[in-house]
Amino acid sequence: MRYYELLYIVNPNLEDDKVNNIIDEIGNEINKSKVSIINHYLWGKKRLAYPIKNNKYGTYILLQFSAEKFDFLIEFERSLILNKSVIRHQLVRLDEEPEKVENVEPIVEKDDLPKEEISEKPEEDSKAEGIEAEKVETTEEVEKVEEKEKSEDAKDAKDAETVDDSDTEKSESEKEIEVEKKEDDK
Amino acid sequence: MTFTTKKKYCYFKENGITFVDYKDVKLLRRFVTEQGKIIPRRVTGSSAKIHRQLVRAIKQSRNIALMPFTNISVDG
Repeated sequence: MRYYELLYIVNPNLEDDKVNNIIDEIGNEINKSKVSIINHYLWGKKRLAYPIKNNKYGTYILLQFSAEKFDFLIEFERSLILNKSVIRHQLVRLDEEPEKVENVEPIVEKDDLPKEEISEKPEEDSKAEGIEAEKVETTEEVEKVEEKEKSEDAKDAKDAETVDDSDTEKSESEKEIEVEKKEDDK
Repeated sequence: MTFTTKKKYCYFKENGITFVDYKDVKLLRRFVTEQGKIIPRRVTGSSAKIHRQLVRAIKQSRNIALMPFTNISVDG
């Protein structure tokens, strides 16, 4: 007695009914030989790590079964390859008996194609709104800043006058010092 | 100067995992670089027995497109 696990990817563009048909088809195919199916369920629609036949997503289906004889496996795999809706499959031998799973909810990846389109649009809208809001704020800020600048300019002008006076005084004193130094040098 | 290295430990031994499943992508991602290369045993510190299973599992999950062979073209 050996335990096997078959994970196969079905074309993601197929409808649920067709996927169920394929599951039945493959179940019947394997039931021809003396095999007891342990699990056979839809694992979920997932994003592929790399594109297979130009498909970005794939519908994964898991089949676990035990078999006494195993010469039928070559024919069974051949039937999978010939099946056009099965993009890829992998048959693995298990060391231990797999647990029977019931009522599995298929996983649907969050970054699914239709969802992406929906999720992207509101984000853009929010971004645009944010920018507008920022613009409004900035205009208000600019006004405030301008007012401040005006008041500051007035202050600066006053300061500048005083500074200028001090500068001239300083420069005069410095010149005097320089002149003195030059005289000393001579 | 003293050179102290962070003590390596086997992740699977710590968590009592005896079987590495190729479908458990979340787990396998730990043992792969960003590029998708398998991290050597001398870095991860996993035991030889587990590492053999790990390599097999990663390669199996690559075949069925659960993990990338390489991550250079992320856009795919």
